[in-house]
Amino acid sequence: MSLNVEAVIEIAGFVVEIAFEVERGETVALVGPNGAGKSTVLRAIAGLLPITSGHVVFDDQTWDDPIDDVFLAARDRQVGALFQSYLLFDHLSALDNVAFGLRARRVDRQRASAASKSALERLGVGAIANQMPAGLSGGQAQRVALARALVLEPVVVLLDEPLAALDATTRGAVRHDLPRWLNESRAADGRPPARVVVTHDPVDAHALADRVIVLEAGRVTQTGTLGDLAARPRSTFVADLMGTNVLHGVLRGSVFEVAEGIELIVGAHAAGDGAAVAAIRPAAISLHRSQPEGSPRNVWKTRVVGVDRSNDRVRVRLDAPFSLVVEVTEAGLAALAVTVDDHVWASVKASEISVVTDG
Amino acid sequence: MTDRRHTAETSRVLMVLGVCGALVFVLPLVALVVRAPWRSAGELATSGPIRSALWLSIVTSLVATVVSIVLGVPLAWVLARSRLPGRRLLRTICTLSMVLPPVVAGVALFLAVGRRGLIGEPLDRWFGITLPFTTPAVVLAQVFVAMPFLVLTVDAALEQLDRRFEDAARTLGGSEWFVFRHVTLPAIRPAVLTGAVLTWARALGEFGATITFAGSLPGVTRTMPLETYLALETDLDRAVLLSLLLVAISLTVLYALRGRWVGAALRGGGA
Amino acid sequence: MASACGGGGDDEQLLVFAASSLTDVFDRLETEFEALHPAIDVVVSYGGSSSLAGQIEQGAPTDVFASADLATMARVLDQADGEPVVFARNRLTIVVEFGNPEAISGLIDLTDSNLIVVLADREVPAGAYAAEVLERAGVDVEPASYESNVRAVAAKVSLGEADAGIVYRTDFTANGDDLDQIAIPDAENVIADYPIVVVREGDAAQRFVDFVLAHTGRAALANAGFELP
Repeated sequence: MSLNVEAVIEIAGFVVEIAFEVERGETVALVGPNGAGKSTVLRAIAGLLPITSGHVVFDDQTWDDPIDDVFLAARDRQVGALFQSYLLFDHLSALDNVAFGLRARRVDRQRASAASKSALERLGVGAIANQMPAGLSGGQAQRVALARALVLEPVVVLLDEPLAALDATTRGAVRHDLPRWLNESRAADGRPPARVVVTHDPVDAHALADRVIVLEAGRVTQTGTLGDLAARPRSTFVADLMGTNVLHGVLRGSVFEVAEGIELIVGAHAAGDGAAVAAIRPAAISLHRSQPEGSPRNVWKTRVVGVDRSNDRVRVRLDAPFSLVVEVTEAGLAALAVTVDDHVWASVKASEISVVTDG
Repeated sequence: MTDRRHTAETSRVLMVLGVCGALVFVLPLVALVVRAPWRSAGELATSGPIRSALWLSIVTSLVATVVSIVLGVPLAWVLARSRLPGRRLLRTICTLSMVLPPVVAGVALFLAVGRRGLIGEPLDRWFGITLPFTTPAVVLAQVFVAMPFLVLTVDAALEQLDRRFEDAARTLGGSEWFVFRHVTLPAIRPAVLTGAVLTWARALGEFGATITFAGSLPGVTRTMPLETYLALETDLDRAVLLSLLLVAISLTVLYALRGRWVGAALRGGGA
Repeated sequence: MASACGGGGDDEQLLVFAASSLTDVFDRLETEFEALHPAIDVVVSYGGSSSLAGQIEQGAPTDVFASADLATMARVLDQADGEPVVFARNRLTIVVEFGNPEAISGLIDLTDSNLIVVLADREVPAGAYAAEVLERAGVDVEPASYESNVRAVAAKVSLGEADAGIVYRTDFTANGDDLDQIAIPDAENVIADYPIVVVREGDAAQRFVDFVLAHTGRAALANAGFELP
């Protein structure tokens, strides 16, 4: 019982190739940089865009299959979509927006109103039922849009950047509430819908999704849990996303050559030869004013090119011989007494470097 | 200081030219008002021929407006949304009558739906329907020259419309017609109303195609502009009064609606 | 002296207003007159006699006016320097489509309600004459349209949109290829007198009027179907 997508989608010369499955009750996050094709995938699932080859299947019902010439129109797919800018209809009240889908399915006015009212109430916005969209706050508009999608009891729920347009305070609240709303939602058969959420924020992905699919330039570059991604990022994008350092180099046994003459000893678990990607968590790197005593093996001299503070963390950016981000505490930085352009020594334990060979 | 003086001079030039531009429109209007035979105005205005011409003008222009909406909105949709080959050429053809000399429009209508016309001949032969010299011919002439105003306005609005709203409606289970009716149409409503007002005003003033294609028979095809033209032959006073009446009607309607629909849509369209 | 031209060239400009039924004749006369008097540039403005008279009343700088009837001419006489002279006569005729498919033989046939008959409006001379003719014949016609000028009547019949119309004989001559005519008996017909007058006295204006009245003018008029006084 699941949504199964295995599709190539070509639009205007751009090709998206993706394959994944989402169980009922599960949430999968589609993560990737701008222009990676995430929204294209959502549009294909929703039936707003035909796929070029492959298939989109829900349970045993084929939604799109060019070879068999099957294409189920958007209105027949029972997909509930929450769009990035909500797309509420300006000329209809909040209640009528929610009732829109029911009216389109010829539910009589009274029953549609009653169902819409209770859908709004479930999301805590019953009081604004008669307001027009222009007068709603971002958070209210989002709840109305979500109610509009969920009231139809869809089997698949699509969410496009559900938190991106909200201000910081509201975002925190919604990040907390949205998973609950989604978990409580039910399709007409009483079972939870399969959910796909597009986001560019790992925190949101973490809050909402069980699994992550990384899409870059139309290709899936990695799938897994957030833990998998953080531990073994396979691309700079994922590493940046997770805040992890990613180094490209060559692995020979347990020696990882980052750049010419610069070698890191990696943990015994990684063995093999050839081009590889090494990941180092920013907090796993230590900084020293002078060459450290007791000589840990992975030590190199480098230079500070930036110091960024956010919340209670400090991130120190290093360049030559290779770029790295190091996370230290405010107290640690004070004790170190370094600023931009100072030279420092960096060290990392071999066991903190995880390496994946390419291919 | 130099800069400020420069600005002042530039704006003075614009001001003078702008006022001259306005005079092009204001002066003839003032002349009509000044020249109008006010003393006999009441008597002339309520005379039989003028009353019947006025009534005919109002009825035909309103019918032409309704026909233009019913056909023009879907036409604009086809132009803006369909993937019809030759869509651009079609758009040009559909707006050609705005720039066509009205008499040419009249002749073209003859050749299409006249008694010997492309469609007119079979119509006459099989159904005994002849259009020229009838009131429907007046409406057809008006639709022919006035509908482009509606098509252009609505076409532009459809092009500008954010299609994601229609997509949202489709995922909510709306059929194409339901989506058009409940999402597209409400969104382009201001443009439809603006287009309708412009269309109506153009239809009300339509002369050349009407006199050529529909002829000129009191109470049947002789609308206000035709009556005015004929009055010019013999009775300048009556011609002036008729012109003034026509201007007053158009001005009142355009001015009254400007603030609401026309203005709003034009401003919205320009933004 | 005649008016000097406004354009700044050497040519003297002569502005002639002529009834639209004179279009073909005056086009020819203009060319021939200019060939004879290279220093004079004749400009002819055609229109319904009434509207031309109206323009003269409004102060149009007309040198010569040729009208399709005496009544219209009378309207401008107090503004004219010269005396009007009748230079041509026209009579009305019934025009039908070429080959006369409806087999119309006279005015009485125009009462058939299945026929589409167009007339000129009573407010233009041709229409007033047509009304007079029908009245004399005691025939009651219900036309489909009262056209604002007589050429439009001929045009609608030659397009096949109307079955019959009443026009000047000269209009029939001009559209001879597409039309047939059914003559109206003299007893019921109206003879239209075409007067010409010098509106603004001048040598060129007088020469042009003389030219119209002399044999070149008469030949052209006869050729176009006019009768000569």
